[in-house]
Amino acid sequence: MLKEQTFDAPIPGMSMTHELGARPWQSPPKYATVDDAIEYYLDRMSSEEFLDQLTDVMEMGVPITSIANTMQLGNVMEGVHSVDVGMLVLPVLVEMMMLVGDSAGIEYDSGLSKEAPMNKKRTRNTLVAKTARKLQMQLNEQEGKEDEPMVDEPIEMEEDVPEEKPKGLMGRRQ
Amino acid sequence: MRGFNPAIIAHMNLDLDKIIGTEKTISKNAGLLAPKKTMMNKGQDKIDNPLYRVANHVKILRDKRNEIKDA
Repeated sequence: MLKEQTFDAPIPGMSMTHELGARPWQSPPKYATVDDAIEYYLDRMSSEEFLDQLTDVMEMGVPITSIANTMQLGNVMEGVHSVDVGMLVLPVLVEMMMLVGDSAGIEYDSGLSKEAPMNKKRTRNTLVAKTARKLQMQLNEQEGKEDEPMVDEPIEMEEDVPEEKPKGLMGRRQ
Repeated sequence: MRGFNPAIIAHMNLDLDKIIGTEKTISKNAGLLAPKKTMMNKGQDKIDNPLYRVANHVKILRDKRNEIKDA
């Protein structure tokens, strides 16, 4: 059987094309311990924006293990934590994402089973909800514009104000 | 075909029962010559192990997930 060839590997000597320490992963990481890294991830993952995006991606059928691996690899490249801390953090990330998926009540692919269960076509509820929300906002905006009564600016009529006569001693007398 | 993903291996190999183990109660010895550090206390050093702390985090999250599933 022929072995599958991969061409996405770095070429020999590629790591030496830059000055030592010029890359983020060559300098000390921002979070050196597992606890610090876990705290960093949990903080990031608890934001509403992130959760919305995560549930959407999970519902698309992207395996959780792939998302977790991409996240930790990206942070290693940015110098947030080291490779070994990333490896240790992986199970926590996977478990956290599974918890998010379960609490959101969506069907997801954990990536732990051999066969991919997400092959069947189905509607993405998060996408439907997002679209409905957007449409509702647009409708509200349009209704708000239409409901606004055409208010004519009142024209101020100039009234004849009698001029005050100077009363002082030095006032001019006509 | 899926490529190599360390997340799958890391998650599969995390045996919570083996890493965390069962908590043992420490019996107090009153004598002066009683050993202060028993073999049972050896488990206290576990907390310094990052894998033990990760396993604890995973256990908490897994318990919470099971709660949601059961409800």
